[in-house]
Amino acid sequence: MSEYLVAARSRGALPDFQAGDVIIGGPDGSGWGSRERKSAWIAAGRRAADWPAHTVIVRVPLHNWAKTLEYAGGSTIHTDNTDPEFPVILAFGRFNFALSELSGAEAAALDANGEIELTDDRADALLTDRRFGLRMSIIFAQPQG
Amino acid sequence: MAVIVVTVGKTGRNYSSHTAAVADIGVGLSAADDITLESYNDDGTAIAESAFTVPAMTGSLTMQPAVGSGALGHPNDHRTRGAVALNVDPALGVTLEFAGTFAAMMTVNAAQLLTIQGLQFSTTGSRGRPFDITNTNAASRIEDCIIKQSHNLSNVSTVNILTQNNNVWVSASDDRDIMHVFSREITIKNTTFVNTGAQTAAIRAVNKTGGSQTLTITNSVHFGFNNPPLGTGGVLVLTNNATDLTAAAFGGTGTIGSLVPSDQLENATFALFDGRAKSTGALPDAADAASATATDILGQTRDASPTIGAWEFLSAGGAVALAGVLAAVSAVVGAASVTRALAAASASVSAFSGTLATAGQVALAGALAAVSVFSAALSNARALSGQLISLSTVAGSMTVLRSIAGFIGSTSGVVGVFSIARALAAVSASVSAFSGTLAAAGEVALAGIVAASTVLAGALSRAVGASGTLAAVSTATGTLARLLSLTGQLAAASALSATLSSAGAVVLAGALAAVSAATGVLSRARVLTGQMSALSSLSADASVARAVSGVVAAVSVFAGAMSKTVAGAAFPFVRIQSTLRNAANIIARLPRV
Repeated sequence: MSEYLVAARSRGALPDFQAGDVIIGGPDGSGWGSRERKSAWIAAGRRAADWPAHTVIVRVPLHNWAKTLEYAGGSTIHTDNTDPEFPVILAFGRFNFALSELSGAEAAALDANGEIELTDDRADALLTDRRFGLRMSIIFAQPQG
Repeated sequence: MAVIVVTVGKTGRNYSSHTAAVADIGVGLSAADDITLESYNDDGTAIAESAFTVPAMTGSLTMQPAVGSGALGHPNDHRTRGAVALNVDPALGVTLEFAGTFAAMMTVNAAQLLTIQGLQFSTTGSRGRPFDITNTNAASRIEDCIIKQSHNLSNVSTVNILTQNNNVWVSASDDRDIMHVFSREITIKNTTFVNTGAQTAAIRAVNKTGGSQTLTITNSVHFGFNNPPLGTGGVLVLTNNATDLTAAAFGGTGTIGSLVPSDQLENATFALFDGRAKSTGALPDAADAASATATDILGQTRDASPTIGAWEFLSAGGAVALAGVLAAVSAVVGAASVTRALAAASASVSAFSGTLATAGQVALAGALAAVSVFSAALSNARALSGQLISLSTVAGSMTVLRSIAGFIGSTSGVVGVFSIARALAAVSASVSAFSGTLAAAGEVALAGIVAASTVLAGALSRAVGASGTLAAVSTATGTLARLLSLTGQLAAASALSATLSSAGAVVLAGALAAVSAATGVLSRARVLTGQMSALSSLSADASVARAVSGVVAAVSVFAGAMSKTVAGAAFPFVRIQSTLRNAANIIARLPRV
């Protein structure tokens, strides 16, 4: 099982960080911080009502670790800096969950708990690879051979 | 503007990674504040990081280890490591680890004040690199850090930070520089640069790629680079550096060249790297004192003749090391008898300091051995003391009686016959006095030192064992990390291959259709070309055509006439037939229009 720390709010307009951007990934049961996971916030003695909700946790049980590393590949897209004086830096997530497309039940669970569990297919349907501008479900649906 | 301190670590901290903390700047953390990320080593392993970009801030950002230890007792600050290998070690300080490829772990491209101190950075991915720092405040600093890049295709970092002191950079890259800088007045002091890659391209520790400013590199080690630092466009100042190139090839002033890395560093290999200078090498006492940093990477005050590189070989290093021994003794013995114990130990320790001062690290081992011998001697003394005390307390036993008899025998010639009681009293008094003296002079001290020695010996033994294990684990971890990276790349390549294959099929079909269409067009074009050629030829022979046309017409008239004639008169039929055949042959040879 993999868990993703996902931005719940946009930091600014594109190309800055956007809501839904994958910040980083971790294995199941990752020790997320008190400012990252709502349950950790409450465990630290804070009130649930004060939870800032800057991030959410998306758990995908069937994502293996290699996939997680790929999806959590970074909040920054660079070109190879063969010319470091002019690096191309795009400061937003390479992968983005379409949180606005969650179903009513999913959104309610996310609001209540600060985290949500998705099936592999559901995650791929919501996840966009910004490098290609395509949902993972579309990319994976390409015919093989 | 407020001062904000948030924690990063794995157990009960604000953030689980620096990536997440930095992502919160501008969201949960105000970019107008002076933010300090205090990092904890909660489990002795590295903190996995993704690529993160520090947004533009009007406040400042400081990244540093917290004081003390993490949840399981691992030190947060690698600078407290003491006399162990100077290498990235997740068990001894906070390590930020980045497995990404073709990307930098940390990107900064805004002019805020940035301070990075006392952290360890590790990158494992192909073309991965720790930093792309292209713009910072002029007061920004990076110091006392250990940075290690383990992939043989590791990429070059951009580190446009003006002050860079006491850092250790170790790379296995075959073909890339350690860092690029540009358009800044960059000063690098007492830094150890080591590359262990194959050097399949021209590589340098530092490459200034542009700008008219000055790049100054002082008191630094450059091993494993086939080219010296470069200062394109500006001024390059190299003073008192050490290199495995020839001094002439390296350039600068005070350069110590043609060194053999394995002769200079405790371990110059990548897997077991130890960046400390060997006491027998050329680095100790060779730095320019005026420009050297005041303290070294571990926070030790540099001596009057400083060492080239990040770590200071202290000419009084033995004393410093022994201070650590004394501290350990203090911890073991306890408060009650510490004063007397340390006083006695101090006297003994000072006797070793001269030796240690000249022999440094090697001398420390000798000193420890000496302490061990000293401890053994003291242990024997303590045993003797115990025996004497036993003599006093079990005076009635046969052993005591024999001793007393001997004593009496030896003294009877002088003092005459004493009663056993008086002898016993005298012996008892002597034993008592001796026992008291022993107690005052070091009984407790001996116990403490012996205990400390035992603890130290055990710790050293475990450290030696752990060193081997850690080396093996480090190698295995590196291999696994590379395998993981390779697996990820293969998966990505597979997905890309599938996509490309699919796309390629579509493209190929389109291309084939286009080629087919083009072939048809070309075919038609060729026919038309032939026709045009024929027309051209026909046009050129227009007169012939016209003549033939006349012939045809004449033949036609003639044929008609002949027909009539044949029908109505007697004309040689054979002649008519021959004429018609000839006319038909002429017509058949005419080109078709």
